Amino acid sequence: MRRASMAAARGSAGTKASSGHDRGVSAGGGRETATTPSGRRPSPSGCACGGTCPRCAANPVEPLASFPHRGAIASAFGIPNFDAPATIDPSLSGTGAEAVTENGGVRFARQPVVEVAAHEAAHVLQMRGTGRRTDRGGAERHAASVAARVIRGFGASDLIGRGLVSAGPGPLFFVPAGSARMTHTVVAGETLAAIAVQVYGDARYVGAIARANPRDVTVNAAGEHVIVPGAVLLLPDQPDAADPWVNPEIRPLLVNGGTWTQPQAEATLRAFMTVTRARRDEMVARYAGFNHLGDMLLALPANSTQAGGTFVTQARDLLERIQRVGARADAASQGLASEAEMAQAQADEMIARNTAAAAAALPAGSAPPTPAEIAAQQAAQVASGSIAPQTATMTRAEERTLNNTLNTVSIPAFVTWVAANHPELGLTARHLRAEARGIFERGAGIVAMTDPPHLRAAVGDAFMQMVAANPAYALPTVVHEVWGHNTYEGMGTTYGLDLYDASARRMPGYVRPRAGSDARVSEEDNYGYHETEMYSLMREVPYYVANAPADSALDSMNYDPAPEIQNRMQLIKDAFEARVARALVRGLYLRFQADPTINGAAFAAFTTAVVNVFPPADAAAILA
Amino acid sequence: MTLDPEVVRQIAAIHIRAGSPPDLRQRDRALAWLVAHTDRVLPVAIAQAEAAPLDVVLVDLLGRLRRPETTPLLQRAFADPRTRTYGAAGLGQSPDPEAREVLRRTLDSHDPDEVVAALAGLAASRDPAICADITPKLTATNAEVRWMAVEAAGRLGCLSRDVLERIARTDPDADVRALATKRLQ
Repeated sequence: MRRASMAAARGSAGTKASSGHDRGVSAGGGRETATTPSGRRPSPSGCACGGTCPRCAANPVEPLASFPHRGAIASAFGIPNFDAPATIDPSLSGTGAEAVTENGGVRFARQPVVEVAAHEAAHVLQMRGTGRRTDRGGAERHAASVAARVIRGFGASDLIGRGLVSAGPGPLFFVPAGSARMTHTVVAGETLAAIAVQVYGDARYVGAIARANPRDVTVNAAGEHVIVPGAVLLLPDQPDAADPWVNPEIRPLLVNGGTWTQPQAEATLRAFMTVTRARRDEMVARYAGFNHLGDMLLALPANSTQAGGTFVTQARDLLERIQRVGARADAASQGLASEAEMAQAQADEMIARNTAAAAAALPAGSAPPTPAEIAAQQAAQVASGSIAPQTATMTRAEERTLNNTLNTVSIPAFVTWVAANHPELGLTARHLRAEARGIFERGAGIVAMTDPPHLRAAVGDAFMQMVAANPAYALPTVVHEVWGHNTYEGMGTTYGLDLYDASARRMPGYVRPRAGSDARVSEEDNYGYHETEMYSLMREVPYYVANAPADSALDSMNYDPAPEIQNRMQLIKDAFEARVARALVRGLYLRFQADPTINGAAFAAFTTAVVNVFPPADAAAILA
Repeated sequence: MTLDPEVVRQIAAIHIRAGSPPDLRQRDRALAWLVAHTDRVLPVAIAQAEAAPLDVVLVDLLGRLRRPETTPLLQRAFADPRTRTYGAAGLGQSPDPEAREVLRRTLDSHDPDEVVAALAGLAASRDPAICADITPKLTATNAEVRWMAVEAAGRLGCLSRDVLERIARTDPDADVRALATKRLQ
């Protein structure tokens, strides 16, 4: 649906032209430069022959009737009539380039994926525009940002309207790159410190560069590093053991933006996990403000960051830290300088609420409530009810018929429909299990239940009814159960619950209930659950289809998840002290913004909820 | 009519369609709250059920409220095969004599599905006084009816160990024998 596997076939960082450092090029890498595997710059005509060699003759240029993916691009750009000349020019691949934008049109080496098309469309508009001028690096970063928006389903009209740049004359190539070590060719007047700042962002890495280049970096009598113009310096991959993202290839992407390749993203995430938790927090605090961590996650293989995916653990770790670092920063901006102060503010709020409730429960004229009475109020506020979930009886014939229908009709039909309409999900029959009685016994109207420890959903009568009417009706709940909670978090470690626990410890008389007890489960539900449920509901959003009038009987089971997202946000606001609540939701905003499993419509539902739930000033701070 | 917003919120919560453990706990909490606030809930539940007669969650709620005012809606649900299971359970739980009578009368139906539903509804009554209505169905010709009769009678404590042992040994249907055996354990 969004990015496909193009990351391995193409990529761009766009930093070469402005940075002066370079790397060798090989297939399967992914970095945009203006060089080819042989070191030649691609000719504007694509093939070096100019179109006369046998290869070019055998692969003629094919004009396209309209710009590839024109509808999606026009919609995202907010330019309904967007179009530009485009051709498929197989000879281009001989240069190593995926596409080239020139003279207001684009030549593609092959039928492009959305990201490549959107990237080049941005270049087309840059060349048409009269906006702020920039260099090629700036043009590439802008185009990469635009393309990243488009493939995530976000609008990009603000980038097109506000940030339109003129890249200057000459073609812009899109060339896959390789994995050779990066080098920097010294030019006259450069110092090693300047190179370190340029490459790594800090002069303190001069020693690392010097150690990697003992022949080309000498030390003079004054103890200064000496380099000579023309020297080609090897740039160390990881000069800082505490921050593996200090890397000549990765750091520019994290700081300046650009298009990530899949190998770059994978290496970046893996490197992240090699340092301690405290270091990871420091790295996120250092880089999150540049807002490119999401671009990196987006370059990972589709579905790899959701439950069952290769990178779910690593991505969750990073996203949790983005959430927490962002929440702490927002709390600090409100005068809560640390997590301890957030916890104390929440504790003060809970003590005040419990004191008022305890006093109200006492006869008029009574002495103020004791700490024990106040603590008892907290337990009462999170207490859960107890009731039999089912009073009706399912007959054995009903069970047999239902399971048979589910196994032979509903599940196969659903899987076939999803494969045809939402292949990006990769849903198969192993993600579903017919469990008519289990679902029935757990209550009326349940469409699907989690089926631990498997990554699948148990389904019953309601699922069968929905699939019979329209398989689309059942999909949101299946996604919720299979890839919602399973992706976001198991219960017990959400930030909301962590904050609650830190706060509760500060309440006189509070004793944490035993793990797994009803009381503890109630605390988890009241303070830890809302954010994971909100995420799961957001995963439903792209798949929600309203009932047709003829299917109104299913209204109670197929409903828009967006209002429920808002309900969950309201519950967070109600449960937490005002500043803490704002900080929590700010953290969620940053997390969801970077999360590649959240699409544009889901994110829009979240932001709408923020605006509806929070006062305008708080909403503006959350969405800043 | 302005509906009680808290009641509306709780009714929305029992419509949660997803079944993760916290979702289910939230449903249970909402259901417990609704049952504990019957007077507040009744007018809202009736209004919503009248507007959505096929909503089994609402039919289920009406039954749990155990109020005679719900009998007409439960009867309507019982008459519709799509909501019959929940209509039956609701009628069975109702303190309204007329509700119980609807189920009793249905035991004489020629439609085995209706009889099965009526037996299931009577089982929900938790009233051993209706054993005399249920036990004749232990010898019904239809195996589904016999199965539900064993289920209902077993739940209400209508069956002695001897009777259950006989059914477990002699009933021609394997599922009925298995159910009786299970009840013996």
